[in-house]
Amino acid sequence: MINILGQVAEGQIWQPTLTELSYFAPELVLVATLLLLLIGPLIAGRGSGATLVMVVVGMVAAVVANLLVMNQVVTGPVSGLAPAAGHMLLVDNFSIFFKFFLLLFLLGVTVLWMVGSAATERNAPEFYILLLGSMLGMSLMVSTMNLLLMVMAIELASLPSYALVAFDKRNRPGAEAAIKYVIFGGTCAAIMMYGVSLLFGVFGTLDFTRIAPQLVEIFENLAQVPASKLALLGLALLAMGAGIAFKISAVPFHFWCPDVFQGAKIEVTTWLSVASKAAGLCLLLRLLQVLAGSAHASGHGFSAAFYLQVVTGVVAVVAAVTCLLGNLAAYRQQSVKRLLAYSSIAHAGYMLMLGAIVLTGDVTQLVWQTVVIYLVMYLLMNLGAFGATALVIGQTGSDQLENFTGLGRRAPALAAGLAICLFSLVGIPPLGGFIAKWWLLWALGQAAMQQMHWWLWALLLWASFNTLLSLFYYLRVIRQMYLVNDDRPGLKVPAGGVVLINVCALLLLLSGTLLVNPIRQKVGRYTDHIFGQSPASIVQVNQPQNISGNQLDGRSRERIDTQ
Amino acid sequence: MNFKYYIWVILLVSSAVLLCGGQTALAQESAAAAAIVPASGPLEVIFFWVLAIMIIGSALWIALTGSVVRMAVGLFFSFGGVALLFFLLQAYFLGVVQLIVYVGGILVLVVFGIMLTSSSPHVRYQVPRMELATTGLVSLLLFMVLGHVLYHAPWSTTGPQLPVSMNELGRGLLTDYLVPFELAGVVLLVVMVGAAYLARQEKR
Amino acid sequence: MDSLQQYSILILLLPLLGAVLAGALGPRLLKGATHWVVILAVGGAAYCAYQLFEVYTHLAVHTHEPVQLVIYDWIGMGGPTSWLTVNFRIDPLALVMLLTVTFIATWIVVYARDYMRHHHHPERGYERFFAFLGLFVFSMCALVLGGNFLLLYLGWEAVGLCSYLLIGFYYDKPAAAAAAMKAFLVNRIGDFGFGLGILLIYLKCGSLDYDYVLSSAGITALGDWAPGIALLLFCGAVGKSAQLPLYVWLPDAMEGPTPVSALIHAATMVTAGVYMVARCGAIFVTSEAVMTFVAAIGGITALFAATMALVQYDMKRILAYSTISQLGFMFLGLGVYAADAAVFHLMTHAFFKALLFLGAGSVMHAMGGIIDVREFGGLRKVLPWTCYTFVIGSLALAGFPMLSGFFSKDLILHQALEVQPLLGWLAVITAGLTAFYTFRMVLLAFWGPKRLPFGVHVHESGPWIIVPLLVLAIGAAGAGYYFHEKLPEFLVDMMTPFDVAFEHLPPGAVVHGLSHEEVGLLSGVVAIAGIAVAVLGYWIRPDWSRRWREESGWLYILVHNKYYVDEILATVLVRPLQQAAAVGSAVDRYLVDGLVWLVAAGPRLVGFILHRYQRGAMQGYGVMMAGGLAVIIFLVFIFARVLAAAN
Repeated sequence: MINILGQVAEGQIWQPTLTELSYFAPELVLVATLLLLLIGPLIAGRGSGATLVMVVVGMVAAVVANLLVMNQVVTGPVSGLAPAAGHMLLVDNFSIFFKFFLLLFLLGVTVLWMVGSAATERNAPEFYILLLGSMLGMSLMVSTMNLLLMVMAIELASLPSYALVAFDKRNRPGAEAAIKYVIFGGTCAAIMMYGVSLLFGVFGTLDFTRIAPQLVEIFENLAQVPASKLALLGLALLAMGAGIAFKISAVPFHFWCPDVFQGAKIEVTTWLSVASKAAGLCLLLRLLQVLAGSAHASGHGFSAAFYLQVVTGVVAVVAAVTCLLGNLAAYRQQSVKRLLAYSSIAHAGYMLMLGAIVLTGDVTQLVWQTVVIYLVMYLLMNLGAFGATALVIGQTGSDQLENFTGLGRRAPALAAGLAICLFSLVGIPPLGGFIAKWWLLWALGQAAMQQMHWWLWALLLWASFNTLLSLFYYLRVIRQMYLVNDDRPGLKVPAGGVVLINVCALLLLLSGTLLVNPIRQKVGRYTDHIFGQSPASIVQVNQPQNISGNQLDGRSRERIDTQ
Repeated sequence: MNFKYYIWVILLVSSAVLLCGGQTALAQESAAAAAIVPASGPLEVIFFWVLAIMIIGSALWIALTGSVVRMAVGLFFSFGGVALLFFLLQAYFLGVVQLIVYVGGILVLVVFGIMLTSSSPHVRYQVPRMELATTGLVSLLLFMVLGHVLYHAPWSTTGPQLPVSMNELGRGLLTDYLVPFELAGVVLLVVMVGAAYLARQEKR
Repeated sequence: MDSLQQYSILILLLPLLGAVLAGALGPRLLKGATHWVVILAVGGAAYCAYQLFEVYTHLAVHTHEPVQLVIYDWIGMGGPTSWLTVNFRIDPLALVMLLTVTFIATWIVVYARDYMRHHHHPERGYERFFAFLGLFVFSMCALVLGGNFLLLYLGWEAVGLCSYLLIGFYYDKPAAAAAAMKAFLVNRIGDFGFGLGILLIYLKCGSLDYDYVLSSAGITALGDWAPGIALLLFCGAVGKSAQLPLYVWLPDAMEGPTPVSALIHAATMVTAGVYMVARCGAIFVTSEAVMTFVAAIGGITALFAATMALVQYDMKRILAYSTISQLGFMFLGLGVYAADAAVFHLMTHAFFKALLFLGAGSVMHAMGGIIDVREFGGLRKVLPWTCYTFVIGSLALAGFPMLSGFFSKDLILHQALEVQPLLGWLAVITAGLTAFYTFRMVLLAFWGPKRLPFGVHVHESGPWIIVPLLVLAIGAAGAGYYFHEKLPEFLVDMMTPFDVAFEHLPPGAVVHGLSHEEVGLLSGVVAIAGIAVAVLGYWIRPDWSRRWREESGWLYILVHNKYYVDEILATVLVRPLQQAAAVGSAVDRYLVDGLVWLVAAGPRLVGFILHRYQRGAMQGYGVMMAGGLAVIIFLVFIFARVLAAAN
């Protein structure tokens, strides 16, 4: 014991410094909030009000922490929380953006929760512990530099979600959906872990920064690398992709999505529809970019390009199929939650298309910008659409399409907000959704111009075609609200909810018109110097002076001296 | 009525335990263990094949049998076989963890679950023929692909050398893998809150 | 952001804001006070227009160079999408238009406050009306301010839409609904050509910015297409500004509330065509033939409409034909390279035509909705304010010397007589006819023995109506004299393409006939003569006019029935079109709907199938997931093989 303490004091055993920890203040604040929610109710009682106060305090603290960190990482990504040559967690502009994104979304979900179930719900602390837990997992998913941590982060994001889906214990479909979710999630996690262990088997390390140089080496000598190794690598990547595809709900790992979305409480549905997919997508893009960065570092070798084409092709096909399936399956739905679930699958498909082009050299920056814009717009649209559905459910007890009949007359403000959000989901100008799609198509077009691959053009056309397809089922809801009329009584919707939805609608409207340019200028900031463009350029927080190529190449790894 | 919540507890806790108990160590050892050629002596070869047949056979049995109790028994052999395989590969810690967590923990929980949920432990689950055929076909496909790739795979040998001492492992968890280790604590905490919430009798 | 930008944005924003507020808050909150929002908004826009003018004139004291302001770059990411930029062009032409539009519109909105109330109660749809007014002004300002053809087109269509909404304001009246539809459809015909023209411009130039298209480089890029494009653009102008043969919607547009008529005729809608031709002068002057065509259409329309106005009895209808006729004058002016005169006439016309319409509205208001001059007469005593302001407006319209119409018409006549003598003389005749029919209307309505429709309680309108009339009367009387030197001077830079083309006309094309003073004298004499004949026939010897009517026989019947144009159109165009439409609708119903159904049926079918599979059975999902993974793995191998083979 004394021996170990002595070693710590002498610096023989690594310990995170305070500066290093300060870079991960937002995550630490989240954990602290989680603990506060665990202990706080013992003192302040289990009421919704007290819980909300704690959550809001935590949120504000997290925002402040994130702002402080944002001003620290202006020069480039930093990593830390691992000794000497290791990289564990990462802070770069994009991970900061993603934390802001999650916090904003948490705020939206909280408002939704206040409007919908705060009055009747007696288990507010548990709800928020689970929600914050999954949020922590998602934010770690986007800042991980280590395969092990990636797996843990995905599990931390998933496990509380399973419980959240079953949160309303009186709701049997919810319990059923949760069981499905668990089994699916477990299976996919198992496949992913299989892939991760295969990767470990290939590279002998879990650290992205050490994997990257090995990838470069493989790409450089692709002709000499045995085909069996490439196949193993491909298989490992595919299996790992399965776990991520599950989070994104990409085909064929999407089956849980409609059942879970329909069964869960609507706040949870909203949360899962955006946050879980966003986290999965960003993680995927990060991984792809490590791959791309390595390939480009290897000097654009012909074979490397070929290998990348295969990877890109798989992502593109999955994206195209996901998109189509989501749009087609949404047609026959009578449940609006289910319809929106399929719409979210389709949108996941659109976003996944970015994964297919992130490997194209010069559009990388554009892809990240598109991701930022698409995610924010997607958040607003879904928050609005699900929020409106929540209000309708709250007033009529069900989310069947027929309950939306004549909503334009029964609750005009609500219907107007919902209509804007739905139009935005279609991508009709000049709404935010259109801007998001525009960026997406633009990025696809740029990539196609650069690569001159016919299938990139096809992907572009496919995205447009799917947008057209999606028009019809969103219009069904709008039609039901405005054109079908009977004499149902007016709805008394809670003002807070209407405000939330209309704020979303207004923001969509603004971001499609006046804010287009401010947003365009702002996104640049979040996508500057992000990790992956050149994996070796990361600064380690704790030893900035010791950074050298030698420490990063992975073969001279120091062993901890046990003597 | 409330039994289903026990399933919940089982599922959540077991997945969490699986993750936290096994995973951190697994990362250190398992793939590295796989990297070492399993057998050098004839006795080890024999042991390997016996264990392999035991693991796969019992796993197949689980998939094909109709009785839940038999499935649990199959699980015992499968888990136990894996633990023995770890011992054979000199990953002693992992073997012990496998025994404690899976055989001692999860399996017992599963048996409890079966006893508490089923009206009779001898409920038989009939697998439809069609489903069996499709599943079999798909599994065979996957098996062929995986088997082909893995059989020919050249494994890296740059991982940590075995056997790893407990001292080293402990230090690894608190230095190199400090963040995942701490995170495992958070995961367990959150999952326990969730499990406790789901299992709690709601006051009406 | 400099003040130019701020003011120009405010000019657009204020009416829009007013419209939105009136529409959103009107029905619930503001109710009878809705007019304040729009009055303040449009008045504010007028103030901003003035400030813009001030800033601009101080900016460029001697040279009135256009200022191109990039207000907003929408989703342009460079390259081919740069045309999606919102930019404004501030130059003398835009300023004159803006000032006229906002100033006139302000007073019309003030006037509408009382007009749209019956006995101190707001009429149904009061808030809606004001919201539309605001939107109308906004659209027109957008049209004028826009610095590229796309904004011009958007404003153009928005103006059309607003006119549709306002003409059909009394939508439960069949005539109003029909008139609105007619206005919309006739405009569509013109807009089709207009849209095509803009498309061609984009195809040839690769840009829609005035800065480029109207520069010499842009004109070069248009090349041989310029005359054709000019004709297509003119097509739009013919529709919007109610010229032959697309004028038919304007007389019917009377069905809307009178302030709307005033707005359409004076400020916001019909002038758009004149503005557009003046703006695109550089394209039009590339071909002498096109200019002649424009002048001919203008001159003939002027005469044609004036003859129809001779025999109408509906005051608003007479004014409508006179508007068509006056617009004809403006196009004549444009066609004879006197664009400054045309714009000047546009401005003076806005004053007196707004005044006349509002006056007619005041009469209608007093007569309980009756506007046929056969039904009443001698209103001079009972409606003194209305009467005398109306007379001032009529004198201005007739071109009575030293009033506003005189100066602007004079400029047009002078140039027309030089460039197109035939059309010039026709225009002189038209001027005489104008004076005659204007005073025929005035005398029938206000002079002679007092006759009132049965059961009408006559009362002079309140200050909300009288004050706008007075203000506009001052404008109608003085604007011509005040501006007749300043305005052409202000517009001189905008005139460059016209002037250059005028200089380059072949020798002999320009006849140096009458001097400026002589033309002024001529038009004054013609106007006074026309007025005198009217006074003779409708006041001093009323039986004379009856005799004229009887003796002219078939000619009278022909003119009175508006040359049967509506009927001819009905036979030649509408009925075949209706039949075609019937066929079309059958095609639409059975073929297109069928196709749409088929398009939607595919997804529906697949949706149905997917629905069956996604039933919630866990095992099925699992198998499909594993199968999907297997498929993907195989896909990878196949993909790799194919690519390897291809490389």
